[in-house]
Amino acid sequence: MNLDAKIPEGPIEQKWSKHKLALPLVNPANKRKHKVIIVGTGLAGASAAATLSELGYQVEVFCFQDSPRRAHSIAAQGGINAAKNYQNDGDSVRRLAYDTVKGGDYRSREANVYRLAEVSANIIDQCVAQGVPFAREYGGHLANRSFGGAQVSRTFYARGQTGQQLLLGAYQALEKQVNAGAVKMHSRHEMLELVVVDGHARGIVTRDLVTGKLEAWAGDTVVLATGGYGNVFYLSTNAKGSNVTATWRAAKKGAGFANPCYTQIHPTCIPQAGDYQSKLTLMSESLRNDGRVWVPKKAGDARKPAQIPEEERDYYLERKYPSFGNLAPRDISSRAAKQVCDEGRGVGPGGRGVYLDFADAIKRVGKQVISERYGNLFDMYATITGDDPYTVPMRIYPAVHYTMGGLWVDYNLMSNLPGLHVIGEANFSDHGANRLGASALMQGLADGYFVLPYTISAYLATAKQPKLTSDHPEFKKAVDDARARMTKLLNVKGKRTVDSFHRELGVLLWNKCGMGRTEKGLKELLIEIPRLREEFWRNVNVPGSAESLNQALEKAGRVADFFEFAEVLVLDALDRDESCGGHFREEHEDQGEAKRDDEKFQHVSVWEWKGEGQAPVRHKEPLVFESFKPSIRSYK
Amino acid sequence: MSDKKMKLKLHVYRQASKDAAGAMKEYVVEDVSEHMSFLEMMDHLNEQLMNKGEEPIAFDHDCREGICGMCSMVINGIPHGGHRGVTACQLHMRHFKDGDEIFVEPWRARAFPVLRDLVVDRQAFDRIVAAGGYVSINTGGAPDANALPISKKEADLSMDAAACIGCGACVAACKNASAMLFVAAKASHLNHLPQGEPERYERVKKMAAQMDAEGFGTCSNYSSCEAVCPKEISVRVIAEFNRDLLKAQAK
Amino acid sequence: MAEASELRREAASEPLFGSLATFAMSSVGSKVVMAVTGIGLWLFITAHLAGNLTAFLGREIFNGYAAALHHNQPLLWGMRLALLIGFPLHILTAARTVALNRAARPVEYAWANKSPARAAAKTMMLSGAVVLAFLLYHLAHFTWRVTGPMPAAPLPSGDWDAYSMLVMGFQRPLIAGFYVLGQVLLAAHLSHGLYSMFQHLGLWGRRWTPWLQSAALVVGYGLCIAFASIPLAVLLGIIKP
Repeated sequence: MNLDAKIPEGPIEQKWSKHKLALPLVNPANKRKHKVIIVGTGLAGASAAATLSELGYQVEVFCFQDSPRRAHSIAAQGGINAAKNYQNDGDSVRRLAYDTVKGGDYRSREANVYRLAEVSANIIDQCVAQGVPFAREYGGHLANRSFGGAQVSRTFYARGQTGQQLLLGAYQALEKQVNAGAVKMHSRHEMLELVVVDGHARGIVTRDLVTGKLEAWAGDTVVLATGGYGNVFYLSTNAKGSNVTATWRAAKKGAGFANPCYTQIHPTCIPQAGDYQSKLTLMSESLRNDGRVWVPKKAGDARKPAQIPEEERDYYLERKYPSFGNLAPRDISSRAAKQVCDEGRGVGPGGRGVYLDFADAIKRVGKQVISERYGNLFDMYATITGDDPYTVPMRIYPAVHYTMGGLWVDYNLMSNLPGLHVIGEANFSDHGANRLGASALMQGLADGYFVLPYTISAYLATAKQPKLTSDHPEFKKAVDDARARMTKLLNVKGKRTVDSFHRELGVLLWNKCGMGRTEKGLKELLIEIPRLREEFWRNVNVPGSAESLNQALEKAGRVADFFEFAEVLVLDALDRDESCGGHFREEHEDQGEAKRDDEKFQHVSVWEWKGEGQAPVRHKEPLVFESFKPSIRSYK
Repeated sequence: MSDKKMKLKLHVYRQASKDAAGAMKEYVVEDVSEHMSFLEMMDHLNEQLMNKGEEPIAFDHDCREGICGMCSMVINGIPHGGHRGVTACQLHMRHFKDGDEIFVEPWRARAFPVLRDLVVDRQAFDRIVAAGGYVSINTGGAPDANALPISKKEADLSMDAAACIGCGACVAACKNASAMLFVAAKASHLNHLPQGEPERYERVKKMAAQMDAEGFGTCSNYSSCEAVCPKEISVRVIAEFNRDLLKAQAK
Repeated sequence: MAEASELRREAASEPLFGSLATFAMSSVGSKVVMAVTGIGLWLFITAHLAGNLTAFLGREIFNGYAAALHHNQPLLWGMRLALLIGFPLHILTAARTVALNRAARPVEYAWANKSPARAAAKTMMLSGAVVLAFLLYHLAHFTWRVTGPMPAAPLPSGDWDAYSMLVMGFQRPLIAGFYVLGQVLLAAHLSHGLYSMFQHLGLWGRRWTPWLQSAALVVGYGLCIAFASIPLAVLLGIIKP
């Protein structure tokens, strides 16, 4: 597997600008001869589709939702980071890059991160010009807040709906291009296969989710912007439809899957209420700016929160991390919550919850101000739980939220499979082992608006692949493969529903490959997952036909892929015999903190699929830090 | 936290495909927890159906946290069930009681054809946005974000309208199946910002023309749309849209 | 590619709402027609009321007003012409939008649409139809004089004794009752129409719009009470033969 990251030479500050100059361009007259296939319409996909079609390429876009506007980027609440330094508090491109590399526990590629920080300011300019209604001060200038463990105020936001507003900006840009006839949009189409011809990614196979029709689409390059795989855990903050199928199908065609074990567990979610639960709801991290996290000091204390006196409460984040307190980064806060719950001090049903208390903040600034800051979040909490957070502390617990792992890409955002570009959460590149708050929106838009449009041109200018259509035998074969898989699922006619399998897989992973991982637990998973997968293929019940709108069949295909992928995730977690960021191996800790092993594991683990029944092979891309020297990540 | 279990009788609209005829069907669903969301109750019913060898009820849903705008059910005659500012995915079963009868139907409008059961086609909304619901700026070359101050008041008015999630409840609720709240909210979002100003009158003309071409009804100011909007968008935006469209005739 | 998209946009922008007529046929435009004709009709009704109220001042003044109006042909025909255009436009546009709106929802809900809506708004068609029926009756009564009790012959001046017609008619409870009913439905119609026309014409103010609905209610029912006071006064013997 060729894992040349193609990082440009030179000082980190000049790498991107020099690289842009060196990239070959496509003649404007030739651009319209190239067809780009984009899968996914979140921030990364929609922004890339709009931008590439503005440049003149033919663009075909696919999403499984009923409209491109519904991609899960829409659910991001908190904000988007940018090194604008509007607050004059010492922010800079270098500081944002440093925070991100450190936040990722020195497991990301520093050149990519630096570029991300560099283009972050352009993103804000672009979005404002599109009409994204960011929050403003009375003077009419943009408002900022500090977010997710940053020491500077660099987060731009639009009420609690930043993701929605940014996505609408990109979606509207996309629709503008649809109207101009420059983009063909296919919603309710799910990608089922990647088509590779002569070693180059040349197209995809989709299923029309309304009619069931399988179709092949040929192009000059394929861009996957299909998001993360958090739903492998069944319960997560992801949308129900979020899945690994597109990236996993690509992995099975030869694309390397990087760092699958890096999963982010978000500390502030509403705890699970029952077995029927279908998803977990995130409460924006911004709540930690004013809320104080605590549990009773005594294990098994069943009193109501108001009856527990101050001296019998343990404000454990403030105690353990005095300089960051309640704002400690996500992985650290999550683990701390798990620890206190493991000690039997958790609150609420099942003892899996901690309090997030606003009583002090309300006393300090008044209910009015708190309501202005978090009104919609408080309402959402009350709607879901039936409790009033103004009078009773919220109960929160960590939940799977984001996946830092993804398909391996080089500096040009191209995977090891030529012609396959991967952007946004679907790739692995920028967040290392842990993502900081308000960085996902930044990365999605950076990739789509400002990075891929340059690098994809270079590929198209130099690849020189012959023109082909979807009549090519490889396309026909891919359609047949997709059909055969569906037929197989429909023909099992077993006794258990898809969801019941998915739920069971999720519980297995969450318990043994969630916030804490041990060699023993992971090895058990490597027996349990294949066993469950085998039962799935023997006993799953998928009613209906392949020629109609069949949501059970859609789910079955996705869960089948999760089953294969889960095993690679666990293998990676077992292989990475250290703790870093969101990957916490209980064998490697120092007073409860993650203990990295830079000597052995300062690399990206890239997994190569070797076929059914064969063990996947792990390759390495070593990580070199020239500008940001790895240090122990301490927030004490 | 108590957990009351309920037994409910559901009447759900079933239609096998786009061209098939549909009808209401009756189902009894047991062991419904009061902590379930409405969609989790539907999941629960679907599990029961599949275990009996029947096909599950198709319904649109995705984020299940009230922001993607995908869920679309008329519950007892009201889109999203009639709790202010709440989508069906955030409607919780504690608002129902044991023995309740519940009617569940798809959005009904000529412009939103039923694809299957409770799933409808809302691409008409995409086409209306494509007709003019954007600022015509290409990527690159944008001036510094703070170069143009925008008063907080205007930014807030813009944001109020931009909160629209495009679910289509406004259309479903309106006696005339009018899309004015959706269309006007998108226009208001952009028209309150200086970036949207140059295309303001062209925008409303094009969006209105597309809205008519899609076959939505006219606005009779029932205000049902405002009452069911999960983002509580005010009919103010409709007045603004009408004014801009009138002015546009003179331009 | 860029040039092509520009051409497309230019071509698309022309025929959209090219002329006023196409605008008037559009969904927003037809509501503007309703609002503008509605304002005209409302102004007419208000003027009509002012004239009617002279009945309280006695036979001489009322008949004098009726005769003056009758003899001022330009004013009379100007008004009739405005009504002859305004009414049909109002009614035909309403009928067209009703047809359009029915077509916009070909399949109704199995369980009644329970979405909250303004009651007066939902019954605009009904109140409008009853008002139209009332209007025809009213014309038959006073303008065409083909129904209701009539004085045996015109006054010596050649004018009809409008005062006597009014009193003789309203002394019959059935006729008076129908007039009162017509006014109540007109009030319901106006209480939504007067609010609605502001929306349709894009007139919205953060401070005054919230009051507008109450104001429309007061104006609508105020007109109703003033109109209905005449038949009631006749029935109660306040306006004497």
